[in-house]
Amino acid sequence: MSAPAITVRNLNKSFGSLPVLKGLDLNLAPSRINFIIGQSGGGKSVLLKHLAGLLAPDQGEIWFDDRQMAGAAPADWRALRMRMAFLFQDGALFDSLSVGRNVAFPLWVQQRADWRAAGRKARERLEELDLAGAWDARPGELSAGERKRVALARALIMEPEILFFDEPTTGLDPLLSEQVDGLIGLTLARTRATVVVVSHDIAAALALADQVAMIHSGRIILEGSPETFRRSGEPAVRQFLAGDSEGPLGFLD
Amino acid sequence: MYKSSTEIKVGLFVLAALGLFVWMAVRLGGFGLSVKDTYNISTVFPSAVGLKQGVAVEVAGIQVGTVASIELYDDKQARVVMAIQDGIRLPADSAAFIRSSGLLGDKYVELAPGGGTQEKLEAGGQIAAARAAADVSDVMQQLGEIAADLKKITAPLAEGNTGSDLKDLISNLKDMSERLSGIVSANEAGLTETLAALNGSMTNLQEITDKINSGSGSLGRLINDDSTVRELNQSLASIRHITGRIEAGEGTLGRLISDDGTIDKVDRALSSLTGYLEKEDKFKVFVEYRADYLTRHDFLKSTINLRLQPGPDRYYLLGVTGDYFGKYKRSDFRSTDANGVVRNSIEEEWRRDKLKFNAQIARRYYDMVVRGGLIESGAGLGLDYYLDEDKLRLTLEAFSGDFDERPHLRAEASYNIWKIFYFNLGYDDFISDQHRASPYFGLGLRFNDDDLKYLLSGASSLF
Amino acid sequence: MAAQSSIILTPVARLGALTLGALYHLGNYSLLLFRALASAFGPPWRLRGILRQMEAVGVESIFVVILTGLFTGGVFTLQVIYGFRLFAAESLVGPTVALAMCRELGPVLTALMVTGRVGSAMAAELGAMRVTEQIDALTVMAADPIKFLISPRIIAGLTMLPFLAAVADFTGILGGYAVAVAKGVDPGQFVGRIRDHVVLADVVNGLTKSGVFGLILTSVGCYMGYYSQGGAEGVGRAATGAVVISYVAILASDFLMTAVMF
Repeated sequence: MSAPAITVRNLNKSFGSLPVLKGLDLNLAPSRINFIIGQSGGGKSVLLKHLAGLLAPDQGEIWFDDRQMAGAAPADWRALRMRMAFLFQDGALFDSLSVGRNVAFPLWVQQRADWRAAGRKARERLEELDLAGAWDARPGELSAGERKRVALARALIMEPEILFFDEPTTGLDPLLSEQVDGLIGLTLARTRATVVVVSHDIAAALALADQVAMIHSGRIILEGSPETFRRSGEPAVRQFLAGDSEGPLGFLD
Repeated sequence: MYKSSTEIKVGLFVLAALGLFVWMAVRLGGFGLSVKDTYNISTVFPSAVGLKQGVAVEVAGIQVGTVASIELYDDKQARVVMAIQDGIRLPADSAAFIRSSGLLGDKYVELAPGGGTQEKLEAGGQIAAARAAADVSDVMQQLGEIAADLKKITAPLAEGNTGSDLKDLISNLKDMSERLSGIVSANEAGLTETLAALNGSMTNLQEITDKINSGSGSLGRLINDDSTVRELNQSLASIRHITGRIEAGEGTLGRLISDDGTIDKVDRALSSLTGYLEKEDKFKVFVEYRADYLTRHDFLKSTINLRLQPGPDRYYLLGVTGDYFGKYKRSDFRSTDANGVVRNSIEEEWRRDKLKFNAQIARRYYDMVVRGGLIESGAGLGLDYYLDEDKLRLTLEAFSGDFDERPHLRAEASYNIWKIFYFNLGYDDFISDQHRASPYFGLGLRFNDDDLKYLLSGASSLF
Repeated sequence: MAAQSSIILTPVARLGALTLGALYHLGNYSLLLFRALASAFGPPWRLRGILRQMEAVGVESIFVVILTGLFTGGVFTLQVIYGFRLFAAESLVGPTVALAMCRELGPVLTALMVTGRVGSAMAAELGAMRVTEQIDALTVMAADPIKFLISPRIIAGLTMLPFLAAVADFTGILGGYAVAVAKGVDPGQFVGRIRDHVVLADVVNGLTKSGVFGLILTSVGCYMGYYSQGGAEGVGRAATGAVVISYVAILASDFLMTAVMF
């Protein structure tokens, strides 16, 4: 098994009577860094949660290589998730566990490894990220940047083939953002995973991504290399790149 | 807003099961929520003191109706109208009593069904009122009469008139003991209550004891009189005389006790009762076979169950089901690839036409059976509700599937069309997330042990 | 888009929506309960998690349950003595208090106290985990959140509530004894009459009920938290909702079970 290509076909999702995704099509390249950019509240995170099976689509297909996962059995999803890791916006560390146990948790749960063995590997990961000192701390005692790094350590411990990042740099100062961006690059180099990053940080996207897709009002309006984006004449893309408050996107935050 | 109909379906399913539970609880709790049709009968009492509208009307201690109204009759008596439940047919010569119950002596109406006529009471019929008896004041009054009798006996003695006729004395004594036994037999049931009431009514007792102590009233005079001891001795002698007669087989009671035939009769009654109980308690065995056609999957699913029924209120079910979907097995594998990276892989295996097992314990409450145990190899619960003298059965079942993450739910109606034949109609696994939901219909056969014996002996006679 | 969601509902449509909503939640709750119970009985066993929840539900509630039992038994005895004096039936105060504690007051009041202490806390805890995406994180790690978070809590409620109710029964009778003796009831009669009139079935049925209450209060708390929406405010709503719904469900199920049992 190796890092899969992910293909989304005609994805539709409404919350109540509010449509969020309207027939979205998307191709994500295997073993590459794929950025999905767009406005806040434009459905980026919703799309990502569909890819991880946390939300079920009303309609549409989600392919991991040649396996269609929309509406698949829970057991199939579990199998796929063994190869997957997800870095949540605020880390989603377990408050009731120490940092060390948080990082060791996936190993313990997926391979039924005992805490001691899982802990050894967890400590290695934390040392790589300069967090060895936080071993016994509770997630609540960490700073936002530390939490994000611990979450990254936890995401990487299983050596996943698919890695999802939900707004990895939101709420971090520029220095930390750069550090996390660096980590994303490093991760790919090591794991050769299919990386999918959801972000509104256009600069990071253009600098790091192999592939960029822009989502706007429930659809992908442009898909391609960073170069394609820089050259695009699409008004919405131009507005987003320039950060203007006037344009087809409406008011930008 | 609620796009997913699965939850709604489950909600309806659970609501139906809860509804059955509530219904059962209401019946077991004996809450008379259902309004039964009634017919009215009436009776006229000399007095309806303490009787209130809505209190119980009982026959042999079982409530059969309520007092509908109380009105003045002929300007001096009380006419009591009683609403009796339809279906309870009383003989026309029944009589009504006013009786009291409990510590506080609440009044209710007791009906004593007569036996002298085949005629039954019709709506609007009138029955005779028996003496409103067995309350404390009545008993006190009667005791007073006895005391007066005693005085009649003792008066000549006290006067020193020893020459008076002994025959008179004996006849007086006999009179008195007859009266005593009259009180006792007339009030036998009531007396127990009266005693309870006596215990409870402190004020009454207080009054009585006060009167006794002050020597006022007949009882008081009786007790305070020195001659009482002598009289009591004589009374005891007469009681001895009565018991002597009973031993000698005189009188109804005597005949009853002395007659050997009585014992035979009692014996026979007891043996027929045990016979009846044995029949009801008999261990029964049923064999059930059923085949159901699942319309959406074009598949015939068959089940054979053995039902062991040690009593009418419970049974055990053992059986097998041949299922189209068979068994699903998955194994997780762990391997380490060339780079030393641990990989998880999963192997899935489907085995079709595998047998699934049923093993359940069931308990019956009125019309409802609650089952639990293994249903098609999954842990589950079942509810059966029987209607129309057990001909129609409504079933709800929920058990864990081996593949679906959702419970396997099933709703079914089954009707006993003829003798051992049943027709089943249902909806299987209707919330499956694996597209397994399907309506089904089918035929069932159910043999009890007698059928089986017949079949087996028939078969053996062939050889 | 806002205009689309604010459709004006007629009363009939609103009633329909309410009914559907109630059915939806009943169904969704039943599914959650089923999955929690089904996944509890299978590997990997979550013994440590169950023990930790047993501590939270059982051990940490003992003090409040003891207090509840003592005071309930005491005040109940006070009222019973007042009534029974009228009939000079003070010797029956003991069994009356013991029966009331074992059959009703012990199990029900324990369940209500534990709901306030533990049920709402479970709703808040799971609600916070939902808001901070910890539940999603568990799912993505292929760890069933229902097995990890909900099953241990329900098992703990199911097993610990009978113990707590037993404690409440005992301390309730103790409180009743103290009050009765202080009020001049013969101590020997108080205890002796309890032996005469209270049978094992009274105690066992009461404890069975409390097991069901434990299942209800933990599962309702977990359901409210697990499906909470709308951030911190939603967590607060989940906690209060858990208490209200649990109370109603406990009292209603108590009625049903009592009708069937006694």
